[in-house]
Amino acid sequence: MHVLDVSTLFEPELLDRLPINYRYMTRLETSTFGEHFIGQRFSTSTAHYSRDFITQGLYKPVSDWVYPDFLPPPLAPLPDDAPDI
Amino acid sequence: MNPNYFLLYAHNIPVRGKERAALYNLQAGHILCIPLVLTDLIEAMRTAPVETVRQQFAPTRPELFDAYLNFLLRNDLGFYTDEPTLFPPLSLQWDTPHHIQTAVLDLDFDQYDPVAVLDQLDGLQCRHVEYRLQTGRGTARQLEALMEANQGRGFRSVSLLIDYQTALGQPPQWVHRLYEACPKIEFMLVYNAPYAGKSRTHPAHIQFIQDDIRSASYRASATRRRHIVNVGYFTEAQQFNPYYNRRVCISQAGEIKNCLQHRRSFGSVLTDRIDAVVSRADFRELWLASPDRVAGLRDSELRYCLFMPHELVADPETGLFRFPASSPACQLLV
Repeated sequence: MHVLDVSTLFEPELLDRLPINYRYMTRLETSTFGEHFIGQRFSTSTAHYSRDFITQGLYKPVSDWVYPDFLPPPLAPLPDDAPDI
Repeated sequence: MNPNYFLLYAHNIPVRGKERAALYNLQAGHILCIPLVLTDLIEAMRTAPVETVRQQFAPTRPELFDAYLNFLLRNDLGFYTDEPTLFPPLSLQWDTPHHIQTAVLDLDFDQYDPVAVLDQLDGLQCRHVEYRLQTGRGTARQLEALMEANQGRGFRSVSLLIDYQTALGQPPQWVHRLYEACPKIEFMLVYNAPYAGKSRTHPAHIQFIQDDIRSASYRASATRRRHIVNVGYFTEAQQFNPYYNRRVCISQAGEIKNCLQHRRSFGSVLTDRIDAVVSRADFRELWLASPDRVAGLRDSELRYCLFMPHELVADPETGLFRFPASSPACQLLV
């Protein structure tokens, strides 16, 4: 969760009538707020009776072929003459 | 005046090695190397007030003790408290409901039926599957059908290592259409491609390389040190070998193995059921080869974070395991 700053959404006239907490609201970068599941993919699982089965990686490499080892750093976007994929 | 006791945050765990120690920050995912004496101080301060520990360890050099304490404070590793009993250490128990956690399938769509294998893996609550397609084998249609067969299963994620030749004859967008059609795909690596780079539409999930990863590049990568610092890996490493634990690999010929690099196989998917093979004690032997039971590795303060996908040999006399003399793991332990 990436905190951008501490600010407020409200106009001064409204803030006068609100508790002081509303003047100091933590602003977060949306893409880092996990509960919004931005960028997450969901599949289905019959065994779990779920249609929102989150796709999630493992905390360790899946096999002895660790993918970052095969990628020359830094891996740039595809060259301009590559197909549009 | 500071409160009486000083404790590390629960996610900071000291580990002793033979010559030095390391402080694992399981939350931030990094390690701090520390002298062995600091682990003694940390252990003592769990139950005794700071002043008592200062008198015990540095009666004539309190400034030395304070320097260690300031090091811990400066790096935000601990805090003062008057009630140490309210801050228990992190539980190091590890368990999972998945009989098999990871499976690697080496495929050529010829030797065995991958869908039948998926049925068995699903029954074992397998969590992650990696598909390695043989170079030049398998068509795009077969791969699409295989990804379709993954739908509705209990796998959390699937990764694909496919040869660019498999995509030949398909529109260029076939790769990312395949990715979008199967939401279980977490990562796709297309090798032997005419270009290298990340996909424009899914840069973190679809990547292309020009090398053939089935050749010598793997051997070169095998000697690289990798450190994995997180709660899951640390707690699993207390009791099990994080690489071999709850893993099954199916070779191109259908052999059931602990690792595709090994020669030894425990059966074949053509004749045996996977659940029968993985429940055998000889198959599970390497699962229990935790870092504390591996000669050489057990003396390292980094034993709970080193990723060691190397062959292990059991020594029945000592009950320990060791890396063969020719193993690249021996270089990593230097």
